[in-house]
Amino acid sequence: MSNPYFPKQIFIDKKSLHFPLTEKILERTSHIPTEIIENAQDLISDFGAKRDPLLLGKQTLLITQQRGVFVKPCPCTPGYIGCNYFIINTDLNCPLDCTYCILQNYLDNPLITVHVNTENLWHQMDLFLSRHRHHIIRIGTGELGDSLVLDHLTDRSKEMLGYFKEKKNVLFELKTKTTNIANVLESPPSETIIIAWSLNSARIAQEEERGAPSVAERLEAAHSVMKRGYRVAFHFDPIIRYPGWEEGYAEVVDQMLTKIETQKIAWISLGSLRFPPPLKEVILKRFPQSRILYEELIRGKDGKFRYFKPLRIELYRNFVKFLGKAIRDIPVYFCMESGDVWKKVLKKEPKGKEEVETYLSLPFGDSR
Amino acid sequence: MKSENIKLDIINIKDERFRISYYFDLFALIRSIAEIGLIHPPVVTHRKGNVLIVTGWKRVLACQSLSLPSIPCFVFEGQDDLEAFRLGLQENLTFRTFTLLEKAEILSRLIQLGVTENDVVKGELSLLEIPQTLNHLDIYLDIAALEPEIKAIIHSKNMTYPVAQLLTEYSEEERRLLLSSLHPLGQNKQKELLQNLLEVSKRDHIPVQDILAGEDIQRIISAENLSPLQKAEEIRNLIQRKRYPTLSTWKDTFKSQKKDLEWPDDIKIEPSPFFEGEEYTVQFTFKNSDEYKKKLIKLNELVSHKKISRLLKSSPKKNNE
Repeated sequence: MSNPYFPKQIFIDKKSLHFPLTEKILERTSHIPTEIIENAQDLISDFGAKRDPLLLGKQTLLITQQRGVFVKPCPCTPGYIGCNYFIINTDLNCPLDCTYCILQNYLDNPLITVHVNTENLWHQMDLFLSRHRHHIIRIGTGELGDSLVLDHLTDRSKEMLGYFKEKKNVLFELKTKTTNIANVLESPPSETIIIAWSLNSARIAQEEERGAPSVAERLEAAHSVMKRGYRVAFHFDPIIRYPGWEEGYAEVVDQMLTKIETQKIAWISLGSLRFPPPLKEVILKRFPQSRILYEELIRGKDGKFRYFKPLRIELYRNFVKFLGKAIRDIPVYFCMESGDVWKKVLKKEPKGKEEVETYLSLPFGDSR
Repeated sequence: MKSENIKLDIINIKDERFRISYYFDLFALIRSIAEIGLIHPPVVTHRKGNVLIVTGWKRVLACQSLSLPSIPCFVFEGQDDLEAFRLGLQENLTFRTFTLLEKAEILSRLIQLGVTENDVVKGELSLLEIPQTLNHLDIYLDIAALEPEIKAIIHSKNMTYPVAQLLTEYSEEERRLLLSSLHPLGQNKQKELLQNLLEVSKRDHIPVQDILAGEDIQRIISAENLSPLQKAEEIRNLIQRKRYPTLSTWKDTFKSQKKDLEWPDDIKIEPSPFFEGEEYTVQFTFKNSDEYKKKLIKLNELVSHKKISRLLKSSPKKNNE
């Protein structure tokens, strides 16, 4: 995002008022109206009744605490191959407004939400890593919100990078669509830390990723991070079919390979458009001009809409073609795909998520 | 509320300000009143010399058709229409649930009576067991605004909320054109047709009216040898093929390869739904061990046939797989 995000209003859960992170955010947003509330759940219910709760939610920041666990296994989806990834849920929701965003349906809470009880996070993290100390863990933020979009308000990345750079059995990934990389550039790089960008064709980025920087800006940011010494990763997800998709995706892959050294790319994931049925209504309502719903989407084994399999295979095979020889140097994997798609496109069929995890963890930086 | 005996001919049934039910069958009620009389008096109110029905339209109409001179009624004495309407709503809720169309009518009346959208969301939506969002209110108000002939179909076909919602996405003219194709179909097929047609129109930037005026559809509509149901089915299939061209080609290929293999009708073979999995399902019935053995032998023959791999691949040549 060219302009850093600032909400129009901030609500602070009364019990979260005196946390250091709350104070930091309020100091940086002193020009924004704030209101202390007794019960965050009442506020969330009020927002839920609005005509476009999601749009309103994106303009509103809620400061509260994570009552449950911060660290969870990525739920993946039934019937398809996962990758044994773990997610850290620090902040919820995202001010960017992507047509296909699963969060529009996944979360009951439409507000941009920052959980300020970070001490609990580190305590939970220590326990989690201790339990998993005998194997390599792939973990990251950016599942329930962009990893960096609030970073100028929270400095979340600074803390995360500081914590994870010392952990030898962890591959930590920040995932973003933004160019909000000031804190990343200030932090010392580590082989175990990967800064990832979600990429799409220029047309999809422009038409379906409202508020997100252009593909060129994202790649420029990735280039800066790479030059700083970090490894980077790219997620082509969701890949979307539209008239001219071949040229659109060939172009972005070409731009990526021109801008970024292949040995600095930790991995590339590919995933085609997929979503649970209730999201369709939300997209129709919120983005009536979008055409992404009108390709041949069928119900997959998990009940979600996804492209008819031969069309997905066609998409992925083209990606392999676009990547050309670079695919020898970069681990490429599928997010939520079936074994036969792996076999038909990448000529390998992982037996399960552990095998995918091993495949992605093997190139554990240049130093290993 | 006081109770009064009201002459039926002074009840002004043209003033429908409190009415929420339009589509009903009075036959059973008429028979019941004829046999045992009116047990549950309607509620009426006086407005500028008129007697208006607050609740109990069916009862009053049934009594009228029985030519009863007067009936016992409760009289709501207040002059606030909203209060009267809400009383009627509560009275109805004590002994029945509302249909989709009645819910839409109730919400529309409340807005007409000056209740704010937010108050309706907080109050009556919950009462009517509708999710408390403005989006749901919007859709119910759209349903309330549908033409009477469309509402009559919603009622007679007992259409669900998602189907009625889809109907609101079409223009009045489009709905009129679709009526004959929708009427013979069951609910799921109606929904499928409405959804696919809308999506083809949006995808191809072709107005629904132009799709329906297409030569292929007109040929079906004018076919003299087809029943209304057959026509509706053919139109539904045609629209589905337009919506899913690749999937339809795969299905056709599977069918033609089955035919090529002379696959017997009494043994069913199906690919996984939408060809998403790699598994196939074979199904057959048998009466005794001889029949069972014969079918297994036939299956063994089929599986040894050189063309079987083509069937199990089912991939049209032009596709990449």
